[in-house]
Amino acid sequence: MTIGKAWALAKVWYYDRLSPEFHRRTVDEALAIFEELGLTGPFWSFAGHTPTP
Amino acid sequence: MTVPEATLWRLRHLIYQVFAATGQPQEITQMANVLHLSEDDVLHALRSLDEMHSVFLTGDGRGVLMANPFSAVPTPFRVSADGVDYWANCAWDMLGVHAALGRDATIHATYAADDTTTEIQVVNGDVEGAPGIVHFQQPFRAWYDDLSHT
Repeated sequence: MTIGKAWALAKVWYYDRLSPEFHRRTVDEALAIFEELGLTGPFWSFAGHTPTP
Repeated sequence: MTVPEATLWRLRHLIYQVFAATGQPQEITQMANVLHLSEDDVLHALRSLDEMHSVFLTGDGRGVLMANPFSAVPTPFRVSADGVDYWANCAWDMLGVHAALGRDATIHATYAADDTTTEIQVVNGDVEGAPGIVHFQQPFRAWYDDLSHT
């Protein structure tokens, strides 16, 4: 992706990382962020995830 | 041994505060002193945070390797802000360091393909001088399977 798009994703993903109230995003929250930024399709999907043994 | 959740989050917050202030994580001894915990308690808490993917530990489990977007070891992505140098885990994280700090920053990145370097300025929330792209090697569903390879 372009640097501009990566910057947009970095801002929404990391802006609260230093906050004591930070909580790790759920998969659904992450997917909502991707969709808002137009990041759709199989690459940004969680379908087919297989937990690491 | 079960570590109280409040202790985990105090430790996580300390790790991030120190990374932001210095660009490096503390040693276990320092964490224990600041939080008034034993080193064993800190070790257990670190392992719990690692299992939760809140931080990632060194191979021997006795130090912090990554607290995204920060890296404890040099990488091709160096971020400088207010006189402090940081290492980011990847090209996305080099932007993430600035996003987390909320301060203007200069990024020096090295392209993997040919080892050429580029400089990116982040000023007043805008990215300048950045003609490149960011490549994600793994799809989202695999990000936490092996984060160092993402």
